Amino acid sequence: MMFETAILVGILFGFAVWLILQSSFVKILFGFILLSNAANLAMLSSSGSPSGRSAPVVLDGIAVTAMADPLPQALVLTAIVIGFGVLSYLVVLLYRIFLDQKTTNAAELFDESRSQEGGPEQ
Amino acid sequence: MTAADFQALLPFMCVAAAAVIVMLVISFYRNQTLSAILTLAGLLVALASLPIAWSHAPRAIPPLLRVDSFALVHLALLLVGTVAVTVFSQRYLEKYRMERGEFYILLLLSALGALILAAADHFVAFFLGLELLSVSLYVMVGYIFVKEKALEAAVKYLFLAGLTSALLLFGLALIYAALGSMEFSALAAAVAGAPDGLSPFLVAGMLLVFAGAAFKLSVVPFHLWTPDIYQGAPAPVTAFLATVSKGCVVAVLLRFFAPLDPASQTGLFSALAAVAGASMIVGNLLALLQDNLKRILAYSSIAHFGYILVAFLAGGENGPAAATFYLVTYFAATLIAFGVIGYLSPTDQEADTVADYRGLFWRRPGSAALLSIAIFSLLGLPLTAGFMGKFFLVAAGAAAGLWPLLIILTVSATLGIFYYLRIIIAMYSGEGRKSEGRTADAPFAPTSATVLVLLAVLLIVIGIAPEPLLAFIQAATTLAP
Amino acid sequence: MGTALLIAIFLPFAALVILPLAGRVLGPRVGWLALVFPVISAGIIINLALGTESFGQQTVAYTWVPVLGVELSFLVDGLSLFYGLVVSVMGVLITFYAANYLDGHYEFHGRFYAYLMLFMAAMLGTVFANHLVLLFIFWELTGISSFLLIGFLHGEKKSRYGARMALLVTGITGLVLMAGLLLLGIVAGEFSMAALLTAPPTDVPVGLLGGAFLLVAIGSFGKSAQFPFHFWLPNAMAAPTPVSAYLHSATMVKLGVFMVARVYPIFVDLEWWTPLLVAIGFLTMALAAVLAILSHDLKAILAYSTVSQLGFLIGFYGMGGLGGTHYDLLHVVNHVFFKGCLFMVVGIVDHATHTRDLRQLGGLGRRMPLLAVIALLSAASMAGLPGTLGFLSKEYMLKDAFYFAEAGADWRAWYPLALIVLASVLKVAFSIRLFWGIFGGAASPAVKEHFHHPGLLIQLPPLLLAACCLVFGFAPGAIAAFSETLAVGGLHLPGAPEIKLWHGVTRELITSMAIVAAGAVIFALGAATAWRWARIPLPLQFDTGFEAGVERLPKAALNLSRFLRDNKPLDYIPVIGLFLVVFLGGYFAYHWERFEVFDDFSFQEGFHYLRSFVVLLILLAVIGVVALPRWTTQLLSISIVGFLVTFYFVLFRAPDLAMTQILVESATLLLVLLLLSRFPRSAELGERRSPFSPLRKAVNLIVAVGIGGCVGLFSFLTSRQKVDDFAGLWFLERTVPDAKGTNAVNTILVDFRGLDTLFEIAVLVIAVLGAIGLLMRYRRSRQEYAEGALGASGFSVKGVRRRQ
Repeated sequence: MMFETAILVGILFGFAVWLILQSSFVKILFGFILLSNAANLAMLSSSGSPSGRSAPVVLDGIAVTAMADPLPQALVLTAIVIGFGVLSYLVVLLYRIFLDQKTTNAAELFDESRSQEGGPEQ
Repeated sequence: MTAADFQALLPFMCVAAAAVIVMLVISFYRNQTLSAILTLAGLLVALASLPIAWSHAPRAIPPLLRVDSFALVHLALLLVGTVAVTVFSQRYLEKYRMERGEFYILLLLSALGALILAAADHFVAFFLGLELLSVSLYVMVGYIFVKEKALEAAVKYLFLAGLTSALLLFGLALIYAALGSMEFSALAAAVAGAPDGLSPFLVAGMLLVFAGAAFKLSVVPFHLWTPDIYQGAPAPVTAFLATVSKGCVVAVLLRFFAPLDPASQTGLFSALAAVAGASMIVGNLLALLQDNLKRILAYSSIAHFGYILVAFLAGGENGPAAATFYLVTYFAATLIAFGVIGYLSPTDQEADTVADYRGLFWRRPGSAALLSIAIFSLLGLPLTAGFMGKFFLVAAGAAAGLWPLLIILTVSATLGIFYYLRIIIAMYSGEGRKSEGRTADAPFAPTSATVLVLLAVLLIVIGIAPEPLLAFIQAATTLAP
Repeated sequence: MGTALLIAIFLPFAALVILPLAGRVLGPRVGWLALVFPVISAGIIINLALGTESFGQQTVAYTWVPVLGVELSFLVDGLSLFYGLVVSVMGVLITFYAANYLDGHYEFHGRFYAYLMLFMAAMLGTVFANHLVLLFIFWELTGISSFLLIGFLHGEKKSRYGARMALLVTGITGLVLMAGLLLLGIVAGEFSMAALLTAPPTDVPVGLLGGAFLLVAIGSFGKSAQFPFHFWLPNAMAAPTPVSAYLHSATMVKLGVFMVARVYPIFVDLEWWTPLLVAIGFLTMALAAVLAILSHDLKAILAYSTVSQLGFLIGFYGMGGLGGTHYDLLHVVNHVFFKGCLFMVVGIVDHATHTRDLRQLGGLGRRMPLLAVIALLSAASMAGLPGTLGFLSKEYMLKDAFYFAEAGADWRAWYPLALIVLASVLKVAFSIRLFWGIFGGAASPAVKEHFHHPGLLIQLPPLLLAACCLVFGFAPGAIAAFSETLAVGGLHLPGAPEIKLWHGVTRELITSMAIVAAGAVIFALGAATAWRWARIPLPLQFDTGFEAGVERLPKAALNLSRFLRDNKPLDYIPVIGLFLVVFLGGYFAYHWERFEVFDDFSFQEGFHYLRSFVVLLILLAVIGVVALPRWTTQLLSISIVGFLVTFYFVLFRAPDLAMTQILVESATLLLVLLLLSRFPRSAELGERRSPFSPLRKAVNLIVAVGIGGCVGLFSFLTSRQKVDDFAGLWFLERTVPDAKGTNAVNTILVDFRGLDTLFEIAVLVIAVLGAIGLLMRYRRSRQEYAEGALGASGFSVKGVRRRQ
């Protein structure tokens, strides 16, 4: 039973989604940072309540059943790194878009694309 | 790990090694043709190693992978798809004067992700394979960023894919919480242990995992990105997106859902049936009014994966085989289509509007014939592979009694005549003046010509004599429930 | 028999390769080479037909795709032999005619004959096919090859338009046919036509069988240009005349009639059989006759008269009783003779004068006497004048209609007879008009200007057909014997049909004479008014309506696609988000009880004081991200969230995660700070105004709150669900003995599952490669260099944007 973790995950997901739904690329970027934190916490929460458990480091005197589950931790670790990789590429991509299209706003970038050919005939 | 394990993993290791070799070579000598050749060599070696791996199949490589005949058939398909994309890319990058071979490292790594997915036997492998595939694709979509709309496409793809991979992670959390394990076999055990319905967490988790996969497959309602990204990405990358990145997801879904019995999981299966039906309808309807060839193919691919979901839902003995066989036909036709589009594109802009193909037959009869064969197969005309694929699908669906879906399939596939025919008619009309359409004049490079012609021959041969391939796939893709 | 039949069907496919190549060398003369193929096929089929006195059923089967139960099997019986003969013998005549017709004015002769042979092969395959799937394959192939043939004169707009219309109509109805055939096969559990005919499915649900019949009927109506699909045939007349003569009178359009005859024994018991076929068939017959009299183009008149005749044939099968019918072969063969002949005549006239408009023709009788005789004979047969085969056909047509009317219960049974009489009157009128308009009267200016004399050879095929009209008209016994030999059980009544020239003065004869008289009167009226009133009124121009529909379809789809957010990138995420909220929320609400939300719920256990404190801090920081005004301050709030999450990891007994998180968080902060420093202040100021409508804002709020709520709730519930024997235990137990490491997370990542780490690294490599690719190839313009190292400062978001 982890009431506060659930609240935390819910709030982080909610705010992250709210930010991603904005049209400013900077806001969306912030949203992704939050989202990656939120997803990691959600994954971690599946390892169960940490109360009364120790870190998954096997030392003498602690029963393995009294340790935190190492598997979600391993997966979250991978996810953190992957999230960082994606984020750093996203940062550079946004910079590139700013250089080429001189905009930091999705509404503007896509609005321009809509007026051009390729879409359905208006 | 034993020697047999290593031999079973040879195809994966060849692809990974090729990525490393290309990377090393690039740091000394930068030449995209050389990189392409090395990539091609790596992929061909991987293909050649399949028989070795086959001799050790079925073999579980704990804890993540399972190399069996099902995986190897899909591996072969994905590798062939990647070979074609590599060949198309070489010429395409040359056209844009991209003398840098890093693109091929990305291609190899994403192919590796796809291979991992096809052999995944564990949710972690599923997650890792999907991420590796996606992240490489984020980069590849925007790689030729001087091309119009490429950056927009990249950023759209990244936003949507990022969001869905967060959902996927959450789905994995639910499944782990419910099962205490992330192996597919644990899922099968849970299904066997609870004939009267699974834990709702497990079902919710599976649906979220399916959502993550559905995004890649671009089925409704996760289809929205497809036309924009198809249009914005370079043609070879679009070919990769349309084939390899979808085929591997079909493979993993087939394996993942194999233990489930439709009769006891009505909720889950009716949700999937709704997705399949909606994809067929939306894909075919929206393809009707597109003027852009890539967008037409994008929407029709949404419909095609709706069809494949029908086989998927049919399950049983023939479901996986029908889905796999349909994938083969879809791969060949789609690769031809995007290969030809990439070739005919002049450097300044891609030749992707229907108007660009006006009178193509009178200007470049070879290209027009190739494109026609591909389109006829996608439409499912008799004597092309697509017809046999559809027939097998319908047979599998009929055996499972999926009548409503089959009616939707037939009716919506009829709409295909309208939009596919527009392309064909455009190609055969006009007088063949150069001014009629904006296509490049450069002749086909021999490698690409070979690949394209081979694929076209494959479509015809399968259409006329499907038996050997069909029997092979049927024998190889039976997934023990 | 098997091999011979296979050669007859598949040899013409070889023409696809040979003829285009030969065409490059031979030019127009390639037609004579092409003649080889139909001659061989015709020879083989004639030989088969002469082989025995009377036919039962014989099947020839080869395995093809046993996995799917599809076999390459052919059915040889009277019906398939009859149509096989028509197709192959007409193939010989048409190829001969085409070799004379297509002169140097045309291009790509090789390709034309290749298509023609492809079409013939497809036709033969269709009529002989036994397996239902095979039947459909060949059926569609006729559609494709006819598309190629109609569109052959691709330069002409009319040609493309006609080809498209033909392919759309027959292609779509073809798919309907496939659905019908598949349904039939699945319902009956049998895909072999021969087996279905000998033992029609009995104990199957009538609804399903009726559905199959309806679908097959629609497919047949499409191919045979029945109402409401009748409009495609006249538009397909843009094709070269040999094509029209072959496809659109003698063979392809008869496929619908063939299909109805083929499935007759299977479906005739159905209640809908008679009403559907009779209603559609005779309506088409009358409507097309009206349209024919209102047309001026020679080929349009012939096309509509073909539609009319096809309508009659469909309706004729509809009138047939349970036991079977007689005379169908008589009607078909009559139509093949006179219509094929007339098309060829029209082709020759067109060739000789360069016009097909009846109002501009005339006086050709003296210039082409032989052709006039040919045309006279065939037009007489079309009108049904005594002494021709057409007369006999009409006699028996009327006879059957009289029987049907008398046997029927009420006035509705007279419907066929009334429409036959109407159509026949009009047919007499336009037959006279056709003949007189071309050959009678004085030569028109157009004729004088362009006329050049046709060769003798080209007149041979129509002469032969015209002779048949006459000879069989006087010797009907041959037709009767022929019909008996080719009779098919279930379709035809046993015994030879009685076909006699003279029965005495019967009501049929009187009606027939009245029809001729009435037709002559209509012709006289028309001639007196110079046919000025003859134009097709708008409500009957189905083709215009169809084209408008095809053109309007995209417009309708446009609204739909707007609704489905095609090409509206800003809406993609909200749509997916809304779906997820509805789906997850709905799922949760639906299974509310199974989730046991409030079971053993306790606040004491639920909250951990230290973790709750951290959560509170994170909450404050997150609100800061949304509430603070500047990008940089928002970024700092994000960072604070990240570092607090690190602390939370520590509380969660995950030291490795905390380490990683703190490193990644620092790097993220620096990276994003760098990015923000590149953006001008004006960009940030320009974004203060949100571009979203109130509706969109509401959607955003719903999606954010919904997803947050659902995920939080699920997360809460799963944390209670923790199973005791989780997989991680295994790793904890094995980490020291197997991997010689105490930290289980580390050993999982580097020992037990190295793949995780490998892929992490691969992802970082990919990100680096992507970043390099995007950053290093940017070449600034001179102006941009001048504007400073970071690009021009102070770009307004609303300001000028440049493309590369």
